[in-house]
Formats: sequence, structure tokens, C-alpha cells
Amino acid sequence: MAEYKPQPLLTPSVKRSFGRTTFYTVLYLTLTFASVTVMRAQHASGALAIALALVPAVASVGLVRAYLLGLRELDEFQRRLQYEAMLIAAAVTAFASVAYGFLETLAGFPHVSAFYAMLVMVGAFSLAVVFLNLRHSL
Amino acid sequence: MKNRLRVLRAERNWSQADLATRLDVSRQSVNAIETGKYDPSLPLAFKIARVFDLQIEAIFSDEDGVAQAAE
Repeated sequence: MAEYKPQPLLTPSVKRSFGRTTFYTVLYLTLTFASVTVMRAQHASGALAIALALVPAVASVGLVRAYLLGLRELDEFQRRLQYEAMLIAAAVTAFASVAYGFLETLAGFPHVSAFYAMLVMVGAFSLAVVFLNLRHSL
Repeated sequence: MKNRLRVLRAERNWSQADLATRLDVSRQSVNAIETGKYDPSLPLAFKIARVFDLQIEAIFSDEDGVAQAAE
């Protein structure tokens, strides 16, 4: 059997993907910070408050674009793992949000911001990616 | 689907990484195909056949087809 020689972890496509994701993450954090700062300083309300609240979403679109571009650089097996992980994350998020919605409405649980749906989705996606990679690598 | 990837690779003294480079896929993908955890698409199966200079049927075999033929 031929000796196993590991491929470099940071291939050019991984580096490109990491660079794009880092750029849009920094942009997102910067826009969020700027938006909150301006909103508080100006005591913004009405249309201005809505506009300022949506400014960070511009970077979110960039993050989605960065993910899709990175996805296209993967091979078919790696893409399948990503699709599976995304499906698991979507299912977990849908279940968690509906279940908590019922708990909130019917059982008097405290109101939780919609922000947490994103956290649940990212967390579930990350765990699913790790799990699927481990399952297919062993 | 069964395949002879591991045997063919060993005959040529290629590592998984060598084959992955030739196929322009990740080593993880080669490992998943070899261990039967992933069946490649038709274009990738053709590419594998070209790399080994063999017909697809000489590399991959359909277990269901073999079972049906034996009945």
C-alpha cells in the first residue's frame, strides 16, 4: 500500500474562501457597530431607524455570496456533505423555532429575539459539518 | 456499488492524495469512494476510468445487478 501523504489543509480555494468570509464578517461587524452607534447618537426613529437597522444586512448578503462561491470550489462529495449539513441545520432551526414559539405562546416561556434563530442555525450547521466529516472520514 | 479503487491504486503505488490530485478532488472524497461511503457521479466515474485507463465496468460493479443476475 502506498504511503499516505496528506494534502495541504490550506489549498488555494480554502484560502480564497477564508479570505472572502473574513472580509464580509469584518464588514458585518463594522456595519453593525456603526449602525448601532449612529442610531443611539441620533435617537433615530421611523424610516431612518429601519434603514440603519438594515444596513448590516448588506454584509449578510456578502456572507451568503462568499459561502456560495466557496461551495462551488468544493468537489462533489464535499458539496454533498455541505448540503446535508445545511439541510440538518434548516430542520433543527425550523423545529426549534416552532417548538419555542408554542412554548412562548402556550406555556408562558419568556420572549426570545429572532436573532437566536440565526445562532441556532449556525451552531447546528457547524456541528453537522463536523459530525458528517468525521463519519465519512473514519 | 462496489469498486476496485483501493486495489488499482495500490497496483500503481499511488497514495490517496496522489489519486485525489489526478482526479482534482479531495483526499477525503477518494477515501469515501474507496470505502463505499460515497458513489461518485457519472462524470467522476468516467474520470476515474480515464485515470486508470480502464472501462468503468472494470472498476465499479453494481451489487444489485450482480445479485439479480445470479437469481
